[in-house]
Amino acid sequence: MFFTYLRRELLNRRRQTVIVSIGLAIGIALVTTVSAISGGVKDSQAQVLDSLYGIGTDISITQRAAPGDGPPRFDIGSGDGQQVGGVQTISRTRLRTERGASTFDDATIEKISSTQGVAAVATALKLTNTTFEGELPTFMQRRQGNDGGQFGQGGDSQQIPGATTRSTVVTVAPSTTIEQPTGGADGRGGSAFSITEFSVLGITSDQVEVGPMASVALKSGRMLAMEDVGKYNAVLDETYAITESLTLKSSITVAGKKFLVAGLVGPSAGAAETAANVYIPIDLARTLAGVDAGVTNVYVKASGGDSVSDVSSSLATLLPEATISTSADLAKTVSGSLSTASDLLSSFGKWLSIIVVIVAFALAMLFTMSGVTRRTREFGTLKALGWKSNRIVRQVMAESVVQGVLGGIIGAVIAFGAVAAVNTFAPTLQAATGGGLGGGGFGGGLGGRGRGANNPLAAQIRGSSTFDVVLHAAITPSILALAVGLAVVGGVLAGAAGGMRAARLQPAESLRSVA
Amino acid sequence: MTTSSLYKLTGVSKSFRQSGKEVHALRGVELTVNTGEHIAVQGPTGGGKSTLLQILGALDVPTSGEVELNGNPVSKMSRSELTKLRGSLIGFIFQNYNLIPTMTAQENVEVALAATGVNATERRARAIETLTKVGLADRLQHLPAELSGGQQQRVAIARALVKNPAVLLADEPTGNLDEQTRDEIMDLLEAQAAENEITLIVVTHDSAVAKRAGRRLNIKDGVVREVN
Repeated sequence: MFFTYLRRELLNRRRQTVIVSIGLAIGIALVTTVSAISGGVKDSQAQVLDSLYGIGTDISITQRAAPGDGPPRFDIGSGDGQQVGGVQTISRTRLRTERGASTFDDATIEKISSTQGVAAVATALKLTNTTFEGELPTFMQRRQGNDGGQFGQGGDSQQIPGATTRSTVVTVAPSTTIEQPTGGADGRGGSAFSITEFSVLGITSDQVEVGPMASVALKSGRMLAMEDVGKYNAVLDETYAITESLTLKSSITVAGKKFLVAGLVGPSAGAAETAANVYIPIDLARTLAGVDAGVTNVYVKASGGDSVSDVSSSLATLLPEATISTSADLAKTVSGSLSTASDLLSSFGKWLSIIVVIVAFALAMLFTMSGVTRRTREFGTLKALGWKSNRIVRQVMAESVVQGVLGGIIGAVIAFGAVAAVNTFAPTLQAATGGGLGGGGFGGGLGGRGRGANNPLAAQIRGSSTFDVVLHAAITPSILALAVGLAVVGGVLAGAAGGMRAARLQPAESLRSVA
Repeated sequence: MTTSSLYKLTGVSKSFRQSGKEVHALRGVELTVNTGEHIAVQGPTGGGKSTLLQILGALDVPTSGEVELNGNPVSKMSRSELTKLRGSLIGFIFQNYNLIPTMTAQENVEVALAATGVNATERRARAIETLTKVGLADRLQHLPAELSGGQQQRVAIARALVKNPAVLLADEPTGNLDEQTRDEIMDLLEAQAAENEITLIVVTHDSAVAKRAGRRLNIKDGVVREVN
């Protein structure tokens, strides 16, 4: 009789069933869709963060350089390069740690490793390879007394325009002169040069569970191995290799030394980009960069998600001069449309969902209570026939729960449709990190530094300043469980409200009230 | 037919507040009803007919006085005991039939047995048998809205009879029916009551219906009097 009554009520009072179910469905569809998109945005953020620090990295540690560490300099002697027909062709390369970064020694790494709550540690030496190439006039052709030869308008040095904060200074040694300026790129004493730059990561090949190597996947060739220590073998980011027309088994020059391209890598699943253009053994990276020992970046994996904060605090105490950043800290530095979407979802989307769900619940409760009122005579009659109150309450609650579940199913279907539409549209979100969206720099070389340039956390992640991430929303089992759970809760609440009303009905009163 | 006492009301009074005023619906009612009696209760509107019926039907308890049904002290019973008593001993028939509009005729009859713990198979069989007795064998799967007033009241009678009650309490059972249907319904009620030795108490405004009863009561201002 319970199921017969339930079926009859739901089918023969279709209007009420449909209204309550649709009301709940709309609320649940909205919550589910917002949750799915929010999950997609979080995944996108995680991709960006994983690209920067490596999948599985909870904490990143860097340290600022001591004040006075200036921009890269290229000292060019008068006799440097090749001089042909009044043109001095020069090429200089420097490999150095990223500006503003200093190194941690082995003892510090050991302390970090032994800190309570630290599960794994990876290290890397982050370098920038900068090459200055160009044509200058043969300065012997200019006669400026004993003034230093210079390109441009005069002075001993020239800061390269366009490189506002990360400038490169080129100085030219004094030379003898002639009366009229000739030569150079334009034959009249002019100059032309370019500066190219790529990021180099000195790595320890066995550190693959955490850190930058955790977020790369081998595309061709092989990864660096322990036997590569001391050997001029490199692994390249596949995209960078394509851009530079480099292939497997070809060679790339780092700090004037040719490295054999042993492998090509790309971002692993879950990462948006790789951490560097070129990966080389850390021992060679140190040698070529003139770094005696140490690393610039330390990547830490905490023993549990809950312990990240505690480990971060411990490390901050241990290393007061260092910049300790958790993935949560880093997430705050991500800007662009990805960040905007995240903010929008976490504020407007969340509250809109909550309000809609509350309204849906309230409507379901009101409709159920109204239904009970309309059925006063029916319930009074049932009580007169010997039905116990709890039997009637159970019946009312069952009707509401079924309506709620129906609402949940309809809501989930709507949400699946909405999420499919979002994924079909596949909006591309842009994430900007410390490097920001700054200007293009000089001669295709130095990237400008936008907002965040003064942020030490941002400073460590430059070189991958913008990411395009395709938003992919997904309804996960947990989101589906949330939808069904909300639907059932809505049904139970409505049923409880209606059931309580039904339980309070006295048979005599309910029959008298309709007499 | 036995002539044992089914109901025994002693000094039954019922009062309640309505719109801020104290209403004395029943005043010191003394009444004995024997098994198998057919009683008609008449009286003006507001005289206490419905309240008396509710007390007799264990839908309500008196403010003072004693009510016994089949030896059970109704006025001292808990709500759940009253519910059980209603489910087993009392059949109700209402002026507006009070059928569940979303259920078929057969299901409406089965509803009365659901409270008594009868299994589904027996419930179905008894419902069909009773509906057949009241002439609705061909209307088992019809919804109330698909039935005439007389047919709906037959369903209500079947619902009251199906659990073999000791007493049928009918509140204006023919109030919404034409004369011919009224007579058919009363014939049916009386026949079923006689056949099953069921006490029949009918509250009515209709003198024609009242005259069919073996015993007539008049209730006015909460006081019950026998009509000779």
